[in-house]
Amino acid sequence: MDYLRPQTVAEALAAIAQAGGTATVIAGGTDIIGDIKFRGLKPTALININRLEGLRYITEDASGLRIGALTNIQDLVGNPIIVKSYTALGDAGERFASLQVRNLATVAGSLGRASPGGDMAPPLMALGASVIAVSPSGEREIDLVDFFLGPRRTVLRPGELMREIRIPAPGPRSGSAYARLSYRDVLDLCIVGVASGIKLDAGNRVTSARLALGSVAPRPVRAANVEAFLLGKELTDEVIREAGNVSSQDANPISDQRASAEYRKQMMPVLTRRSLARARDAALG
Amino acid sequence: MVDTYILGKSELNIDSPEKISGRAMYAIDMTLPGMLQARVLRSPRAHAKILSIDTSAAKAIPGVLAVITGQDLPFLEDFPGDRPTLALDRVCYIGDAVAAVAAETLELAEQAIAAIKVEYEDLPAVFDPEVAMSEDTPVVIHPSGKGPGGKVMGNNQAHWYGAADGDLEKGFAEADLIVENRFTTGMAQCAPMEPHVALADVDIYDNCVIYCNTQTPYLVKQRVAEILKVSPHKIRVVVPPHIGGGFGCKTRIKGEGIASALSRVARKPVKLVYSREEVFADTTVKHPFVIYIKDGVKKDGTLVARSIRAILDAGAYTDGTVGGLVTRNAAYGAVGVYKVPNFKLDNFRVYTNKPVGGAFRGFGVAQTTWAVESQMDIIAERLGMDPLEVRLKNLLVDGDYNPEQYLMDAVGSRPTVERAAELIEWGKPADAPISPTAKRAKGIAIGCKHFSIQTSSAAIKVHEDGSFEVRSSVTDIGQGSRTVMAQIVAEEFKVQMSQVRVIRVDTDVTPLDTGQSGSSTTVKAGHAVRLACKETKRQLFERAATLLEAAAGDLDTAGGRVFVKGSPDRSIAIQDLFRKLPMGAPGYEYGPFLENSSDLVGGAMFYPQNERGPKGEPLPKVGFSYCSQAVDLEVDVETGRIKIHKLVSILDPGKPMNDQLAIGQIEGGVGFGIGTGILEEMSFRDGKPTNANLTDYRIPTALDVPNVDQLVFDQVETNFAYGPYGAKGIGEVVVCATSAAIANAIRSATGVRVVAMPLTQERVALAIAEYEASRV
Repeated sequence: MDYLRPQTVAEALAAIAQAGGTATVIAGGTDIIGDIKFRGLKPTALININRLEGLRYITEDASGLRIGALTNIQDLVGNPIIVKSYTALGDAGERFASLQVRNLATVAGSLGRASPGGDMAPPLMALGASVIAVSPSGEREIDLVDFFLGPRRTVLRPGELMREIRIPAPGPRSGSAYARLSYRDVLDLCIVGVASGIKLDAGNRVTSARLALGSVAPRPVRAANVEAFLLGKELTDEVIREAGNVSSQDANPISDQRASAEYRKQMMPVLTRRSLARARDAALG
Repeated sequence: MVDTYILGKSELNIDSPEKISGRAMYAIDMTLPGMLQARVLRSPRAHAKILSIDTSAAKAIPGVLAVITGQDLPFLEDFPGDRPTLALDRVCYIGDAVAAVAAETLELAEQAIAAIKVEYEDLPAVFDPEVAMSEDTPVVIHPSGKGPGGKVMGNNQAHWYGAADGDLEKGFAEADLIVENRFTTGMAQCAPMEPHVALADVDIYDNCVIYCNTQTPYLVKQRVAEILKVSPHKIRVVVPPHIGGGFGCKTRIKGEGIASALSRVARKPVKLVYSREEVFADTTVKHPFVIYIKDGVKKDGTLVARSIRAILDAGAYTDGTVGGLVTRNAAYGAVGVYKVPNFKLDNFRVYTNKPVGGAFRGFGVAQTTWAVESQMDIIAERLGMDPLEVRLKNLLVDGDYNPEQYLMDAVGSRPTVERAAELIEWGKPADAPISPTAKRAKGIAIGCKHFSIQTSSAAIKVHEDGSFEVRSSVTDIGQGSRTVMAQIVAEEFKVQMSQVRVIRVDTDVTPLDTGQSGSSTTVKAGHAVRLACKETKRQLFERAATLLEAAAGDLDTAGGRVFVKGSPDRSIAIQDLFRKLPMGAPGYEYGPFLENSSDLVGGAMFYPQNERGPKGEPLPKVGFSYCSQAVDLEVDVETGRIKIHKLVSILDPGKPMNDQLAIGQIEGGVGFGIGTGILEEMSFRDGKPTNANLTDYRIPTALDVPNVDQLVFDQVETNFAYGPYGAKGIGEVVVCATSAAIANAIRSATGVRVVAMPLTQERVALAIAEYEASRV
C-alpha cells in the first residue's frame, strides 16, 4: 500500500488522480484505520490529507458560516459562533465519540463516511448546509440533502475532495438543536438522532422548518412530513407534541445490534419533540 | 481490625507504581526471539458436521510453519468431556475453533487461515434453552447428564443440581399468599481489558513453557500436559504479575493448548492473542438464566415456602468443572439470606448452539439474586408492606441452618442492609427528579455470595539480607492479592512491606494453587501464606535458638531480628544466620551461606476442614459474605434511560485485610454491577453474535458509573472465625445486588416491574410504554 501525504489541495487532487480511483483518502482516519485493521479494507494507496494547508477554519460572514474541510469535531465544541447561531452543530460536536476521537475526526470526513448514524449529517442538514467539492475540473456546491446515497455512499465522484462546508446565515428568530439518544453519554453510537432548524415570525409561527433524522434510515433523511406539518403553525407545546407523532411517517427504521425497530419508532417522536422544543428555545432566546 | 501490626491498613498496592507509570508488563507485551504468530479458524456455522478439512494450501504458504486441526489434538476437556480443543467432526456454535496456524507474521497467519477449506453439512440448531430441553427440540447437541435420582435427564440437559428442605406442599398450603414469577438474565462477557494471551515455547525435548494471563495456572499446566500427551513436569506455566483483568473468563484453559500444540509442530515460540471478537464469543460467557420462582408467604410477611426452578443456558459445551459448579453454586444465591422452612430448588444447565457459559464474576449467584431480590419487593408490594421490613422479618441469623443445611455464621445481612437503608434515607421519599420527563425513587436489595474455601499452598523464602520472598501460584487479576500476601508476611514477621517481595507465578517455582475463582483467594491464600510464615518462623527460630542459647519456643521476631521473648536484648539479626565461609586464601570468603542447608524456605498447604449439615451430610466448604445496596435513581419515562443519583454499597468483608483494596472491590463492583445490570448484553441473530465488539457491546465508561459524590460505601465487619485473621472473600458479592436494587427503584418510580435483566433503556422504555398502554 502506498502512503502519500500531500501538502496542498492541488497536490492531493493530483495524487488521487494518479492513484486512479482505488485510493482511499483519510483526514482524521478514525474510521478508515479501523476498516483497514479490522474490517478487511485494503486500499492500494492511502492519501492522508490532514496536512493540507488552509483547510481548518470556522468563519462567519453575512452570508453564513464556512467550515474548512479539515476542521475537527473538537473545533466545533465551545466555538462561540456555533454555540450562538448554529446550536444543533454544537450539540452534535459535544456528544461525538470521545475527546480523543473528536481531536482527530473531521467534520467533512464524518460526512464523507456517510454512516446512517453519523452525528454530523442531521444537524448540518437541519441548518441547510452544502458541501463544496473540488476536483481538477473545478468546484461544485452540493446541497447535503442530495449528498448521501446510502451507507458509505455519497454523490462525490472519484477524484473529488470536499473543501468546505457552508451553512447559510440563519437570520433572526431562528434556532436549531440536535437531540440524540444513545446508551452511554460518551463513546456510543447514536440510536436515534433528530436535528431541527426552525425560523419563527413575530407570532411564533413557523416560517421555515428543516428536520433531519439520523440512524432511522439507510441515510440521513429530512423529515418532510414534520416540516410540512409545522409550516405556518404557531410553535406551541401542543404543536410540538403533534409534530412528534407526525415524525413516525418520516422513516421506517430497522432493528440492528444497537436497537430494535420498535424502540427506534418509539423514540422518533420523543426526540423530535425534544429537538423542536430546544430549537424553539434557541430561536426565542 | 485491632491488634495488628500492618494487616487491615491501607498499604499501597505493591503493583501500583508500575501500573501508574505505564511500566507494568503484561503477557500481551511479551515477545521471544523467533516468535511466530498464531490465528484460529473458527466456525461460521451454528451447528454442522465437518465433512472435510483441506489444509494443504495453507501449509504451502511460505512462512507458515504449523497448521493443526482437531485430528492432531483429540483431547476432550474434563467433566463431562464434551469439548475438544479443536473441533473433531462437528462444530457446535459460531466461533467454535476448527483449525489453527502459526506463521512468521500475523498477516501470513491470517492468509493461511483463509486458505483452509472446510466442507460443512448443516445440522439443525437450537438457541433457546427452554426449547432445547423440551420434547420438541430440533436437535440434541450432546448426551444428557444425570438428574434427580441419578436418572439420565431429558434432551440437552447437561447438569442438574437440587436442594430441598421441609415439606413444600405443606408450606404452600399454609401460605396466605402465593407469588409466582419468571425472571430472565442476559448473556454477558467479562470483557477484561487485556484479551487472552498464550505464548508457548516447546523445545525439542517437548519441554513447554507457556507465558499466559490465566486465572488458573496449575490447571493450564495439567490440561496442556494432557493435550500434548506429555508428563506434567515438562510443562511450565509462567504468569506475569500484571494481568489486565479476568472476572472469570480467564479461568481454565483457553488458548494455551492451541498455542502449545502449534509450538510443538513449529519448534518455535508461538504467540496467540485473542481478538476482541474472540474474547466475546469464543472464551466463556455469563450463563443466561430463566428463573421460575414461587413463594408462599403469611399475611405478616413470613416466608413459609419457596420453590425455584432455574434453567441455565450452557451454550454449546461445558467449560470443564465450571459447568457443574455454576449449576450448583447458583443455588447459594437462593439460600444465604432468608429463612425458608419449606424449600425446593432445581437448577438445570441446558445446551444450546451458542458461546459456552463459564465462570463470570458472580458465578450464577448474581443471576439468582436478581430473581430473589426482585421477588422480595413483589411480595412486599402484594402484602402492602415495606420492602425492607419484609426482608428484615425473614433474615437468617447466626446459628440457623439455611435451606441447604449450612450452619450460618458471621451473617452480615442485617447490619449491611440496615446501614444501606440508613445511608439512602430509606422511608424518606426521593427528591423530585431533575428531568421533567423522569420519575424518581429508591430501591434496595441484599446481596449474598458464598466464597468457596479452597486449597492452596505457599512458600516463604528468607533471603540472606533478611528480606522475604513469597512464592504462591495465586494470580493477581487486579484484586490486589499480591499486596495482601505481602501484607500477611509483613504482619507475621513485623517488617515493612518493602522487606517483602512477591515473585511472579511460575509453576517451576511457585507451589500448587487451585486458581482464582469463587472469591476464594483471600481465604485460601491468606491461610496458606500464614501457615507458610509459621513454618518459616519454626525453621528460623530453630537456627537462632542455638546461637541465642534459648529454646526455639521462647523466640519471636520483629524488624528483621529474632529475639528471646521478654529479653529483647538477647537477639540476632536474621541476616546473621547466613554466614560467610573462609576460602583458605586469607581475606577471601564464600557466601553468605546458610549452614548445612541450601536455603531457608518454609512451605505450607491449607486444606479446609469439611463442612457437615445437621445430619452429618458432607457439604462443600464455603463462607457467606454480604453486600447490600440501595439506590436513588430517576428514570426517563420516555426513553427508559436511568440516571443514578446515589448508590449505597455496604460490604461485610469479615475483617478487611487491606481497607483500601476492599473499597476498591466495592467501587469496581459497582461499575461491574451497573454494566451487567443496565448496559451489557450479548445479542445474536440465528446464533451469530451481532455485538461481539466494544463498540456495540457497551461496557460502562468512567462517566457511566456514579461519581465519587454519588457513590456511598461503607463496611460492616463481622467475625468470621474460619477466615485468615477473620477475613472473608469479597470479590463477587459486591456485584450481586445492584440490578435488583435498580429494578426495585424503577418499579417504585414508574409502576413497571421489569423481569428481564439487563435493564437496558430500550427494555425499560418498551415496558413503560406497554404498561401505560394497558392502563388506558
